[in-house]
Order: sequence, then C-alpha cells, then structure tokens
Amino acid sequence: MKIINKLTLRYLKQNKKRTIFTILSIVLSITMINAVGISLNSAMKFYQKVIEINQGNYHYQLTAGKKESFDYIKKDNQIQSYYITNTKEYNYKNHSDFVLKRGDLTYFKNRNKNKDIEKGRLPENSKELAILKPYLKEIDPSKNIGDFITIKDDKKSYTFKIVGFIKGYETTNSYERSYNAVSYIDLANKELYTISITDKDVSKNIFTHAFELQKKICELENVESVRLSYNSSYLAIQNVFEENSNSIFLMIYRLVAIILAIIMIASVIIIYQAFNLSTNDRVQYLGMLASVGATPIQKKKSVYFEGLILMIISLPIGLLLSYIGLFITFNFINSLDIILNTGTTIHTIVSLQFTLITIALSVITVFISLILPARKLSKISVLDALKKSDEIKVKSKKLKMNFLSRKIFNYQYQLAIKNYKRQGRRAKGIILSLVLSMVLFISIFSFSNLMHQEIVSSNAYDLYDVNVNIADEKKEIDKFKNILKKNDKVEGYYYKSLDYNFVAEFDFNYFEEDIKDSVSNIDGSVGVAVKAIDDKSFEKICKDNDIEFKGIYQVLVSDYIRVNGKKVSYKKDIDKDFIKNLKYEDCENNKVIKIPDFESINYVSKDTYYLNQEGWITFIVPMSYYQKIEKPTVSCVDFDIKATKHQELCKDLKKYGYYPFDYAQNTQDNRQAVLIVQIFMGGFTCLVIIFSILNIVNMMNASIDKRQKEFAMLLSVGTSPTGIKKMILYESFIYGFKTLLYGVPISIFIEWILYKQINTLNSFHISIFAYIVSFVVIMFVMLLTFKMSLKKIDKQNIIESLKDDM
Amino acid sequence: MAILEVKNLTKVYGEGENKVVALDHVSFHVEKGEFIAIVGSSGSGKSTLLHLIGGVDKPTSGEVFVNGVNVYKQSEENLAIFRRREVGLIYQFYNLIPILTVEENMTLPVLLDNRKVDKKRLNELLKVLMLEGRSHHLPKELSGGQQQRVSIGRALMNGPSLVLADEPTGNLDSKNSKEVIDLLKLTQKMYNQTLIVITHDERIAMQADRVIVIEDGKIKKDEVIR
Repeated sequence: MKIINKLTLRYLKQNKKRTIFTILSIVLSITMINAVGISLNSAMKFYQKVIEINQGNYHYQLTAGKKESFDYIKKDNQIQSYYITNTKEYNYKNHSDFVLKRGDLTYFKNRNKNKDIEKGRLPENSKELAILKPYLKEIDPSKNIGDFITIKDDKKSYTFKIVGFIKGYETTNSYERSYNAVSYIDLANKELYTISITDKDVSKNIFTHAFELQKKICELENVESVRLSYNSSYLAIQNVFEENSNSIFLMIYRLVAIILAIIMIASVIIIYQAFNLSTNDRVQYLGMLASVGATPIQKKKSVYFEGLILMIISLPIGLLLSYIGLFITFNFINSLDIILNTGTTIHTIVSLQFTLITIALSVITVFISLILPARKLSKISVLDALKKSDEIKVKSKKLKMNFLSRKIFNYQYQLAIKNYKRQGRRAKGIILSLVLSMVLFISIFSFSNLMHQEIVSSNAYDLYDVNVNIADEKKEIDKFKNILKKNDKVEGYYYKSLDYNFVAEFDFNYFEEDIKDSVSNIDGSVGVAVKAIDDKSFEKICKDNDIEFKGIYQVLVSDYIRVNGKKVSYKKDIDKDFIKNLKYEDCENNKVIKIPDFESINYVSKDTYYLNQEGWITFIVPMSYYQKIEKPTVSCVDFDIKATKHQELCKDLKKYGYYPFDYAQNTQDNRQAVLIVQIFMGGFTCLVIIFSILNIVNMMNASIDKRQKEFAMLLSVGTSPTGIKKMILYESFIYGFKTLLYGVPISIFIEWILYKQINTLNSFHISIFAYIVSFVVIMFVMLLTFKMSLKKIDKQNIIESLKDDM
Repeated sequence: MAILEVKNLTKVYGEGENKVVALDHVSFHVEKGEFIAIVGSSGSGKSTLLHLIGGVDKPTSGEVFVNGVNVYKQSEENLAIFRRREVGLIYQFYNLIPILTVEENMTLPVLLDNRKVDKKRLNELLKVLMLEGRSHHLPKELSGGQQQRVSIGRALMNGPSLVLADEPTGNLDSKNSKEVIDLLKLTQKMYNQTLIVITHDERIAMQADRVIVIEDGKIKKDEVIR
C-alpha cells in the first residue's frame, strides 16, 4: 500500500474519536438520503395497492356496445388483460333506483369473493344476481335467496334468480357508481359497456395505443366519439404521465428532489467541517511529507483516500439504519386506523434502483465535502504546515476589544471573546448549524401546532361522532329518532336544520366597528343564517352560557361577527331593538314570508362553529320555533350523534338505507394523517439536530485540542485552572448566546409567515415551549462540550504541553 | 559546474510599515561535495536562505539553480519531486512523522516516489547512523539524538544532490551534537554529498570547508577555511 495511504489509515486509527465523529456524520447523511428513497418507494407501492383495491388495476377505459368492438379488443396483442362492465338503473315495482352492475368473467375473477358475499354466492351467469340485503328488504321484503326478481328498463324486462347477498359497497372511485346488485353481462343486450383495459407496455405508449383504440372503436361503433378515460393515479404511480400533466405525483417528485437537495447541502456543510477538522490535524504530517517531496496531488489524494475509507465503513451502517428506522416507523403507522381502513399495509421496500441512487448521491455528497479541504491542504505551504501556522488569519483590529467591553468584562471573558473572534469562519459555521437546527425545530413544531389547531381540533359546541342528513318531515324525523332510541350504541344526539337564508335590518350601533358596508346588501338588508337545534339542546346551550331559557321564541347569536377575516364584537348588550323585519324572501314564488316575532335575543360567548360564517349573522333558534316558519321548500335536518362505537353505528344505520357520515373516523383519520406527517418531519428534524450537535462537539473539541499549548502557557504564567475553565465556559456561552440572538428573531419571523399562510381567526402567538426546549438543548450542548474540554485540561501537564510539537 | 547557484535571491515579508526584508539580493554558488556552514545571529535570514534553496518557500525575486535546473521555474508538482530527489532537509526539531516507524520515516522519499526501497542502502544507513535494532521503533521511543539521526537517514535515503541542515544540533546536548555533526561529515564524505549547515555554534562552523556569514539578509562574509 502506498505510504501516504498507510499514513492516513494509521492516523484514522490513532484519532478514534475524531474518526468516529466523521463516520457518524457520513452515516447520518446516508441514513437520511436512503430514508427518503425507501419512504418514497414504499409509499408508492402502498398507494399502488390502495388504488388497485379501490379503483382497479386498469390503465384506461373505453365504452363500446358492438360485438365487432369486443372482437377487435380481444385480438389486440398490445393488451395484457381487460374486463367489461356495465352499471345501469332499472325499475322494480315503484322503485326507480335499482342499480345493477354487470361484469364479465374476468371482472368476477378479480372480485374478492370472501370480502364480497354475506350469504349465498356470487352469480355465475347473466340470469343470476346477488343483491344488497337491506335494499331488497326495502323494495320487496317478501323476496329471499332462491326467489326470482324481474326488473325493467325503457325497453324490456329482465328476470334474475337471487343467489346471494352482497356486503355494503361504498365507492371511492368518482367514475364508478354505487350499485345494489351484481350480475353477469349479456353481450346480446344491445347496451353500452365499459371496457377496462391493461396494456402490456407500461409506458407513454399507453396514451398512443388508447387513442388509436378509441378511433378504431368509433369506426366500428359508427359513432363520432366514445368515452376514453385514464386511471391517471394508477398510471402516475408507475411514472406514466400524460402531456402537460399536473399530477400530484410530479409535485411529490419535485418535493422529494428539494428535500434531497436540502439534505445533501446540509450534509456537505457538516461533513466538510468534519473532514476539515481532520485535515487540519494532519496539516503538520502532510507538511513534513511535502518537505520530503510529497506532491500537492499526493496530499490531495490522501484526503480523498480518507473519504473513501470512511465511506466504505459508513455506507452499510447508514443503509441498515435507515431500513431499521423505517421498518419500525411503518410498523407503527400500520397500526393506525387510517392505514388499516385502506385494506392494505405499508411495507419497507428496498429497491436496487433507489439503493444505487442513494449510494451515488452519498458518494457525491462526501466527494463535494472533500473538495475544499483537499484543495486547502494541497495549497498550504510547507513552512506554514511545519510551523502549524494554518490558523484562520484574522486581522488584529478584529480582535481588539472596545473600551466599554474592557471595563465591563473580566479578563477571562475578554480572552473568550477574542478566542471566539479568532475562529473566524469556523465559529460562523458552528453558529450557522446551530441556528439552522433551532429554526428548523421551531418551524416544524409551529407548523404541526397550526395544523393541529386548524385541521384537527374542533371548536364545535358539542362534539359529535356521526352525522346523518334526513328530510325535514315530521314522519321521517320521528322514524329516525325511533331507530336511534333502539340502538344501544347511541350515547346522545341533537338535530339541527341546515342554513336557511333570511334577511333583516340591523342597528349597526351595537357593533364596536362600522361594518355596515361590509355586510349589507344593496337594499340595506343583511343576510341572516338561521339554524335550528332541538329544543333540549337549545336549553342546554342557554344553561351553559348562563342565559335564562325564556321559551321557544328565543334567539341566540355569537358574541362576535366575522368580517373580512377578523372578529368584530358588540359594544353593548343586544336586545330586541338590534334586529328588525326578519323575513324570508321566496324569490321563486315572489313572496315574502314573515317570521313569527322572537321575544328575546342573547349572545353566547362559548365559541361554536355554527355561528361564525364570514360576513353573516347566524342565529340559533329552538326547533319548535323553526317549525313554525312557513317554509316554501322541503329542507333537511342534520342529526349529530355521539357514539363511541361510531364505526359500528354507521354499519347499523346503513342497513336501514341511511347514509351516515362518520365524522369521528374522519377526524381520527385527519389526526393520524397529521401524526404521520409529524413523525416524518420530526424524524428529519431530529437527524438534523443530531448532525449539528455532532458538528459543534467535534469542532469545539478540536479547537481545545489545538490550544493545549496556549493553555499550558497561560497556566505557566499564573492563570489558575479555574480561570482557564471559566474562559472556556464563557466561550461556550458565547456560541449559545449568538445562536439565540440570531435564531430567535428568524424563528419568530418564520412562525409569523407560517401563521399568515393559514387562514385562521386565532391570534398569532409564538411557540414558547419550542423556544424553551431549544434554549435548554443549546445550553446542554454547550455544557457538554465544556465538560469534555475540561477533561483534557485537567489531564494536562504544563511542561509536556509546552514542549510538545505534535 | 556549480551544483548550487543562488542569484539575487530576495525574500520580503509583509507590506508597508510591516515590511521585513529577510533576504536582500543574496548571490553565491556551491561546488559539488562542499561542506558549507551558514552562520549569523537570530533573524539574520539564514533559515530563510536555507528554505529557499530547499524549495520549501517561495522567493520574492531571484533565482536558485540546482544542477543547472531553475528551481522556481518548475510547477508545484515538479518542485515536490525536486525536494524528494534532489534535496535532503534536516530540521532542528526532527519533524519525524510520529505514527511511522524509523524505517518508514527514513524511506519516505523513496516511497513517495513509488519506487522500491534499496534494502542494502537502508541497512547501510541504519548501521552508519547506529540505528540498527531500532528500525521498527516509533519516534517517541527514541532519544533526541536518535531522532535526529533518523532525520539524517531520511535526508540521505534518496541520495540527493544537496543536504540542507537547519540547526541540526539546536535541540541536542553536546554529546549528541558532536555525534550528529560527525555523522553528517562522515556521510558527506561517504556519499560525496554537498552539505549546507545552518548553525550559530562556532565550533560546528569551524568544521566546515567554507563559512558564509549572513547579517540583515545580506552575505557579510564568504570565507573558505579549509
């Protein structure tokens, strides 16, 4: 082995701590880069499975009706597979909503029989069907499995034998309709069918082929056009994009590229500093080598050789760590409902392609980090290297202390400031990485908080779990109330009307600001949204707000109105004079419906989302009052139900033919989505913070190492060991103080920018907790480096240090 | 032909008020096989002169020719090769690489040249320098005198045209100092080496063939004494 390489290896072994620090920096970099690659690959594969489950694995769909078209498709050798379906509405007795989905053999082969059938079996020919049991009970309770059923369309009747009951179906595919029954297609029926096609060549050629097929089918069908639609998400996940596509995946790829670039830049800065320290230490060795004839290229190569060795050690560790970290993370994420409900799980998938990309990017990162140290080393003169005069050259006037500082600060502190200043760019590098970590941590903390407040937390007066919308007819309301009464999963409920738009005239003197122009219509009237809530719940709202319940002709309003994004409050208590001429304008029938006069009005201070629409005044009234209003059209009421077992309640209600919205599940899904994002962002931030801590500990250690002789000299002229320790402590705190000095205003500024991006009524406030944590961590890091430095000084022998040249 | 020719060599440090002229238009030549002592008080410019001859520093102006080759007209790469092959430098503080053994330190110039080590020459040098049995020791396991002998061995390993020694006995006691100078003289005669030694010790200077006295960056006296 060449002597310079031998020397490099021995140096690395001799300076284990420094070598380990450098390896850790490279390992962290590789871990982050590989984690991005694995996450992207795993997420794409997961999403591909989700699409296949929900939408299907076809590439595009065409419509056709003639045998010639189907024969043509059958013979097309560019097609890997296809299936034919048809969804249509039929009539059965008085019901016009009998939706039958027909499929061919391939379609039924792809259906998961176990998940599909509740009782009986799937149909095996076009004379059989399987149906939703609740729907059958609704349209014809006398029918069961084994019976025959005849449905009609405009042209003819179709008789089927009922062979099974299928489970409830909810489509997440906007191109698919929900259906009540399934059967086989009968191509003899001259109907239009949808053909879902998967091509063999998964590339941009799909678009050309689909277009050609479309043209051919138009010809065969003798029509001007047939519907052609792409399974865009499914294609995009396989990196097949249409021209001028603005697919979200392209955005994701761009985002990933940006994240990788940020990781690489941060890595280059940190790894560069690690190698810079290492090469600084070796300056004298390499100076000696230069004095005996080592060329600049040989010196440079020694730096690259060091990089190569450390890369070889770090690469497998980094790759393994990222895999293990993501494996644990994905295992946790797979336990969340938001993933469980997809019907599939995320696997940690390592692909050769992404691994090779990771290796290439890591090599490039390390190589870039080495360029400057290698160049610096090759340019340093032999004499400078031998004299160890490789310190950052700072002009003497920069080291001068002003008169005031000299008077205020003691000598140790003055020395600490000078030592800090003499580090020059190195000190700035430390401050930069600490500020970066602090700002990143606070930004992500703030962002998570804002997301949590706006998306996840609810200001609803009474949180509910399930929402059901039914017709505003007494018969329907009573029927539904009866169903809820009998269901043991229902813990409580209330119901309210949807917004009903009224107008009125207001006395704007009641408001703190003049908002007349902002909320008034041209004729001077103001829109009023009237919401009714069941009488019992209305009474509860009054009680909770210390308002006397005065009967059904009582109106509640929020204690502020939202105008142009801000809250405008009342300057005095409101009373009946606040509002006049409340009426409903039935523009369709050209009449004005007057509302029975209300008797009292109060405002509520407990925030409720019902009352805060932008630019509107919203009233809450008891349902009994609401039902006295002569409404021209049939409206709906919302039942908001509390149920811990919300998923099961929804299943029960669906059996009755209702369409419940599982709000609790939706909120939980949102919370879990936020949690997943927080996990990844938090993980990324932690790695960056670890990076920075490693960096500063490494650099402070190196700085102390280099100054052993200085400390020995100070000790020899009478400075006490306590004095030296104080000097280093002050120096540590200068770094901490400077970090906070720059980091705090930058963080506040970024928090303010994030706050402005989110349209929220909450006032701006800084995340004090995050600043406290940052301060504690920075001080901890400073004290840690201080402690480590102290050990070296305690061990020091004055004379040995003064004599020591290396 | 002179093995070394120095023409109007000047070295200036700093600018303006802080300007220091370390060497001021120095010129002289050296024949092959000469033993020259350069003497002068501290700050006179003798070390600067030696470093410029050895190619480890850059002059402000002037030229240095070794074996007819203009040292400072070469590229950085060729200058390093020049230091490796044509010059053997010995420092006051040895400047050995602490993590290389005696043998590795001595053979550095050869190894940097990617050539095979001449074992015979190595063993000969180890014997002459009384380092037999120490070849696998690290510098920290040697005395000051032994370390300086390793440094001499390193300087001689490649058979350079010039051996330049900057206060080689400055860090040694009198016994070791005498030993080192005797060895330098011996190896100079054995290998017909041209030897230039910087010293402030008159006794060492008197052992040279020629003494050059430097003062304030100029040659004050250039006297052949032997």
